[in-house]
Amino acid sequence: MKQPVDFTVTPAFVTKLSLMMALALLPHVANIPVNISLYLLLLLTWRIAGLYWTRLLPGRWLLLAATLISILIVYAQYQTLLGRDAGVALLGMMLMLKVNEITKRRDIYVSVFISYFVIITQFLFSQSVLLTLYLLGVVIGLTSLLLEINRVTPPRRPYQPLISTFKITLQALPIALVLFIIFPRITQPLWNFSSEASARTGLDDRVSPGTISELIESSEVAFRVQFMQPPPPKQQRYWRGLVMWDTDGYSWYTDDKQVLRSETIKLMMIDNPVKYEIFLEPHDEAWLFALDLPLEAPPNSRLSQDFQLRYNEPVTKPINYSLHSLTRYGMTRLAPGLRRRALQLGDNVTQRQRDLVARWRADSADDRAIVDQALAFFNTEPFIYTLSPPRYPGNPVDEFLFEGMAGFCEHYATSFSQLMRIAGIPSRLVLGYQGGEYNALGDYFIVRQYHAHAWSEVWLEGRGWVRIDPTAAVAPERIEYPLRLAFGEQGAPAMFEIDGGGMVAAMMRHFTHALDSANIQWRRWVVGYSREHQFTLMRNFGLDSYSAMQWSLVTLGMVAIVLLLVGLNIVRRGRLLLSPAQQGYQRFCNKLSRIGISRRSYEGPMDFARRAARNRPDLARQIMAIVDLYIRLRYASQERDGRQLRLFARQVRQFRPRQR
Amino acid sequence: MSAELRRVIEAAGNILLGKQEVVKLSLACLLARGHLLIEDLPGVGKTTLAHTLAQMLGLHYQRIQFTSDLLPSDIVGVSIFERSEQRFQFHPGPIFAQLVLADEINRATPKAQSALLEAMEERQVTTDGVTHGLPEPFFVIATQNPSHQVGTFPLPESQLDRFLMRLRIGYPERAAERDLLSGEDRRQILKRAGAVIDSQRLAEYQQRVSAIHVSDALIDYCQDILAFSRDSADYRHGLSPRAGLAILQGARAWALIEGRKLVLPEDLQAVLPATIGHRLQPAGDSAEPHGESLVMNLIGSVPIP
Repeated sequence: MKQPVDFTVTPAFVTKLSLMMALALLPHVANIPVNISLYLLLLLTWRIAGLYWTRLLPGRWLLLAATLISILIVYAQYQTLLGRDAGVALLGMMLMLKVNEITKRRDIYVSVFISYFVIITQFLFSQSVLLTLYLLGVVIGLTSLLLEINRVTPPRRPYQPLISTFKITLQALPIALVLFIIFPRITQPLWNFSSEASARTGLDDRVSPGTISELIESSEVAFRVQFMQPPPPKQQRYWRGLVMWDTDGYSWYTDDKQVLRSETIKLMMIDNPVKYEIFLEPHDEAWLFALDLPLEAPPNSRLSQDFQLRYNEPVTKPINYSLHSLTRYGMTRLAPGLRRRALQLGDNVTQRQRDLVARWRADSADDRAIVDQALAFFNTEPFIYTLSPPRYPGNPVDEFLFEGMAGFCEHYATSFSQLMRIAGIPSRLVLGYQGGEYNALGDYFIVRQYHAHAWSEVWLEGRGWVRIDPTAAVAPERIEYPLRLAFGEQGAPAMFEIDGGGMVAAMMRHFTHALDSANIQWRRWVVGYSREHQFTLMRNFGLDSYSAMQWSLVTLGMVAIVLLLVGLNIVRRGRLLLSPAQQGYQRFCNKLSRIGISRRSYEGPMDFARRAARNRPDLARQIMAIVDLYIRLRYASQERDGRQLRLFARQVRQFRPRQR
Repeated sequence: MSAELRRVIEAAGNILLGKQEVVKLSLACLLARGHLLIEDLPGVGKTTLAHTLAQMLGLHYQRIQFTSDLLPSDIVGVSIFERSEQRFQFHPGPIFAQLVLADEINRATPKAQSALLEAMEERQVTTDGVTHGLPEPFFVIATQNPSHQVGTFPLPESQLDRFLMRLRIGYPERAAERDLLSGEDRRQILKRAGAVIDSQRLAEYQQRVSAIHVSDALIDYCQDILAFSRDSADYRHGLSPRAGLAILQGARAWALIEGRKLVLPEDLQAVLPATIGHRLQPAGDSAEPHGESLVMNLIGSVPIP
């Protein structure tokens, strides 16, 4: 009889498969060095060229050599073959080498499954919604190829397997969703690759003139904030990070041990607290950011007495936390030890600084007036706010104040704090971010690295610590408008985006905001769906009486039952409950299959026996005898004949064909 | 293979050169008491096949040439008033024969077609309230030109279903055709050739077909095939239970010709293209008008249980 159409590996199919494999690998280009990407492209090109000039296709030895070279390249690049980055590079090479080896059906299976694995590794680098959607598309594409080669009849339309895969995916979606929601979540990730981080930009725990203006070039997101009520005005959106008490006159830092001792602080509330949630990007440092001033510490963190939030470990993966903050407040008492620290000075105080402060002191009635004088000094003298401040190599504060007069926020904040200390007013430096860009689509603020800012706090009797931003005195636009990131020549005044840009810029902003909004929702509900969320959900359904262990067992039990039912259904439909004769025949066929003669599923016993006997005339007699018995049992309805059945079983047992 | 039947096939093969398989299938159809539809181009030997079978099996043979003006009475016969006896006398038409060749059935009008098909189904003819039984055995071989030819009334699906098998003869192979072109006129050979068996023996063989054993395993296989045709998206309609009966009956006859007392999956597969090829239509507007490749796919898709 005629055979049904068998699948053969056509050039068109190889092209499709190679393309899908390359697409599965594509996002890794951002994660691996350029030269390795180029090498991968070379391997792919080799295969595509091989479609047209078959002679180009590598033989076994050439392929082996290419494999060794690939391993050497990875080793040369990373000095290791292990770990996330080297592993991914190696995997990419293996995938592209496999592209050069697609000749049989089996190769297709292997290629597709390696591609699936590559797709999983993409999530070690990014879990954004766009990437997820993209990879879902690639998965559908790959699966449709699997479907295509497993069809018995060629598809009527070329895109039919794709549609079928799409349907299968849709059918799988509810199951995936249910499992996502109820399957117990692992609190510790199975792999801990993400700490193998590249240098991330962010604030440092030591500030000297120039440290923040470096940050300003980065538009990376520091964190996002969603307010639970109308957000405070921009002038009050100061995001507190670190507080610096100590200075050597050149840089400011803080000695953690002394400050972090907890102490009760009396706080006078002038306004109602503001509630908000922060989605912090990893910055590899062990502190959190909060709206000035935070009133409580999120889980796994402590609130110090100068209102810094210290996290228990470096933040190496995105986290979210909810907080209350006061934007207006008062304090009553400054401990003597702290007052001493807040007045400590470095060895860079010059006579002209003292003279300047003495002049203010003479003209002022109280500390508040001195502060105003100082701000007026920055405002009226020809100070320039610039993104490209000149370097002040000798005595930075002094040279900035009296010679250069051009600086960025940290210049103003450090000089101001130092002048206040000379005047005997306790002061400290606060480091964080200011402002943030509003995303109307998601109703939240995006705070980027270029929002980094430094300001001062001075202790005024009766008011407590008061935030003073000397930068605002020089360039109030800094607080009002976003910076225009155009770096002029050294010392050139900074420009601001007062008009909001043109239509294209507005559209671009709209698009990036939409994308950012989708990502943040994704992170909040999908990536950030933690064990705690799961338990909250269970509690809402009244299922919280189970412990985590019990719940895990219940879920696993449920999954097992479903799988069992599905399995039984398959068994019933597939008639895998075989009769003894069928089982014997199966064994017989398996034995022949091992010597290279496999029965096709539609091949009748006589046809198969004849074919097998033709292939192996030496076994013909045995094969014929067994098949004869099988036919009698099965097709003459003598399956209940115990004697024949035993004879059949014995003959099958004694049938031990060997490969020639 | 049964010796007598083999002689029939060999003898028929001498006349219809290189078409052993077709001869075997048509014999199986006859043994299974089914009617046969031969669909092919003019001149490939449709009439010869029918004539040969009639000759070999010693059957009384009639040929009806279907034309567009053929009337039902031209097939079944007509009652004529006999003046001498003062009553209507039924004059049987050409259908009263053991083997009827309905040539080019699709050239006749549906009315004439259905007269024949009713007779095939009922194995009797009723005119003027009187029922006349048809001879036994009664076997119709209808031939049909491919339906895209001009001036034809293709048989509707419901009528196609009445034929147990639909065969296509196809062009002969080069060597066989050479023998045909260089040798004696086939009709002369046919005239000389005598019957191999008589209608008595034929009836016995038909009895024996019914006695061929069909096991549960084979019925499982047949049902799997029916179920696949119904579940698969490749066919417009699934196969009917009547198709299932036809498959098993055809497979039994095939097994008898092969000299077996039981039906193997191979027997079933052998008759499957002929028995269901005309009952399956591809889903959608496929360019493939014939069912053979569909049947091949079906065989390949259904594992033997």
